[in-house]
Amino acid sequence: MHPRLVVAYVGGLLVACGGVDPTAVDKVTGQPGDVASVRLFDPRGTELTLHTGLVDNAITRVEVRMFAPDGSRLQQIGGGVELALLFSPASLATSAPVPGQPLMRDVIPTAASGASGSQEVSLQFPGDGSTKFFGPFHVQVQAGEPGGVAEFRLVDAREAEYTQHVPLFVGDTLRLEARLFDSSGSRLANPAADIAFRFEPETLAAALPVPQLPFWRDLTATSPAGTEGSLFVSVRFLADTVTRTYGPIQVLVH
Amino acid sequence: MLAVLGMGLPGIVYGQHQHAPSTGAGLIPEAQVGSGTAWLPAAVPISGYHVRPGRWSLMAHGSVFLQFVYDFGTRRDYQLGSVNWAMAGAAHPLAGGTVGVRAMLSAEPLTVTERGYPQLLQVAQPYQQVTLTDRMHPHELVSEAAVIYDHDIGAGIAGSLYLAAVGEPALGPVSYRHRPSATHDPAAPLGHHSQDFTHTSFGVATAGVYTRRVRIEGSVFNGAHPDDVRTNFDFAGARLNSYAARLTVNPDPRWSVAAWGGYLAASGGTHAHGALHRVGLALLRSAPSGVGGTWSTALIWGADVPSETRRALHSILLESSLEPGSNDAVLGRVEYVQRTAADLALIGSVRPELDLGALSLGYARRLLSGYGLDAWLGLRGTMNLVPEDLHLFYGSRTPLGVIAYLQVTPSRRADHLMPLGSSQCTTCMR
Repeated sequence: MHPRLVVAYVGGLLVACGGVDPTAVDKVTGQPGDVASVRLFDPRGTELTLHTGLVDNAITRVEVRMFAPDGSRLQQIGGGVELALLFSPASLATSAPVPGQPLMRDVIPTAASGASGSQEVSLQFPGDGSTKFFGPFHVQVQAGEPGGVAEFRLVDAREAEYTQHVPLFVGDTLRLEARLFDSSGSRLANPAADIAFRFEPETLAAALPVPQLPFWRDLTATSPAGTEGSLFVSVRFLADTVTRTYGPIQVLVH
Repeated sequence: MLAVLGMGLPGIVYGQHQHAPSTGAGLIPEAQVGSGTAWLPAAVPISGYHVRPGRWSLMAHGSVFLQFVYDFGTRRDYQLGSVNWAMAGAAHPLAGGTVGVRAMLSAEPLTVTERGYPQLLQVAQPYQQVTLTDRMHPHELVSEAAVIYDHDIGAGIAGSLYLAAVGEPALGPVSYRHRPSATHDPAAPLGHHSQDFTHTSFGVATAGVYTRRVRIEGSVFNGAHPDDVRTNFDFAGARLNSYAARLTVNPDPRWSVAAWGGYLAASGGTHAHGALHRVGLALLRSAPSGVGGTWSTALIWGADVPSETRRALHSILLESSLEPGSNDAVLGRVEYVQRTAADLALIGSVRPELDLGALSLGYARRLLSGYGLDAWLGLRGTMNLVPEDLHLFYGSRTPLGVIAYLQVTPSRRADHLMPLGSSQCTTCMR
């Protein structure tokens, strides 16, 4: 093979790169006719398009994002847009507007947990008087958690996430906070609850309370490096004395 | 990459070499070994390098495409990039059998970026909090890291054990990157996700028994999809929660027929998927053609049956590569796939299930040969076929795409061929 071709080829590989960045192709403003599809999200950015789970004792905020045929996101529509969610069966849920957020609705389930159905998105465009419908999107009402808690997370002081895996280093102490969130993703700042950390095996590690910080624990390994086990966090809600246990969370001693 | 693999070994043999040296039992030609534990037709060994220092058997092969991709229509996109892979293996007698190790690498996370390369109608993928559509993901930096042990267990019958930190379970056909019928085709099949998508699974154990013509095997493996960081190892939370079985029959050196079935457990994470069953059938044929040429064809059917819907989603692929001599290659691929609206990130905007098709035709010409490598210049065009639902999104019922490429592969010039087992090759390195 000719050496110059080899050099050109290797050079080409080195400079090769992606063309259009598909994560950065949002359009700011479009027209009603540009809206070709929609997708649903919660306030934390979790996509709900495939499935929207409603908690039977909580409000779920749903954001509708609009997309052009080429897949780029339309953040505004000339002339404005009015959103409505149509549930089937109608007894499944209702929704209310969110002030100042025309593409968000607060959804309140009106059916018992376990009920399922669908929702349809209606976008009305005052600018040209047209309306577009998208859907159906699957909806299911799920049993609520005690105390209005929908999510549990473990984080450290730097906001690093440990909910899936807790690495412990022999001789070090890891300080973690148990945080509780409601179904809208809002953190419950001072939940009326007690927490307890439990390791399996019990010899794996120790979790010591932190004075003045009831939801924090100092975790130290009590097993040699290479030991693996699990962490369970129990939350006892004082209002109804219901205890909810989260885990197993993988723990590995390094 | 290939040059390093190929030129660093003294006494190397290259050309249409015998593939991974993992068949210690000696029942089958090494050329019959494809990706993972899948079998190829043995009649047309793929190109690579092979050397046997002492009792060791070492091999390396791969392919590097420098490509310019352009998709037309509403979702037009382009990219200058490279799809590529390299595989290396070693085998040595051990305890009456043969132990082999194998590794496969790809620089695609860098050379097509972790967002992948444009490909209309490919399955949408999550990436950094957004959903990428119409792009094929890059392959993992480490696509295979495996140990294989083969041992005779009777007259004309052998057993094998394949353990892979990263590897391919007995589910699906030979991965498209290893199929002779796709040798000069840089693009992934549209049916990749229902045919050979599990070829990079983080945790695989496969046990099998085989004769010269029949192989039966079963796998347990981690059914979680790799996440969108392609340069790491996705072992966090990994479990051998999925299983598969495959029957392969090679009635003669030109044919390989395989049927498989398996279960992929639901998994979470950024690339979460529901539980599903997967079945399929593959017919591969490779035979010499013309003077020093080959003709390889694959017919593959794959189907996913999600546990939630219990409705099968089918894909059918017919691909062929005809090399009438040693300097020209004509490649073609015809596909039919059933996609869900979720696959295209269009839930609620189109019907829940859609029938898609694609016709691809290409031609490659060998430009140069030297240093143990061949350079091919190729052009490949695709006409996709979409239903009316997708007209709005793609701008037509027949959105088009082209790929122009320069491919470098191990040389397959006939005058470089050396008989397997030779550890001396005085004419190869020029």
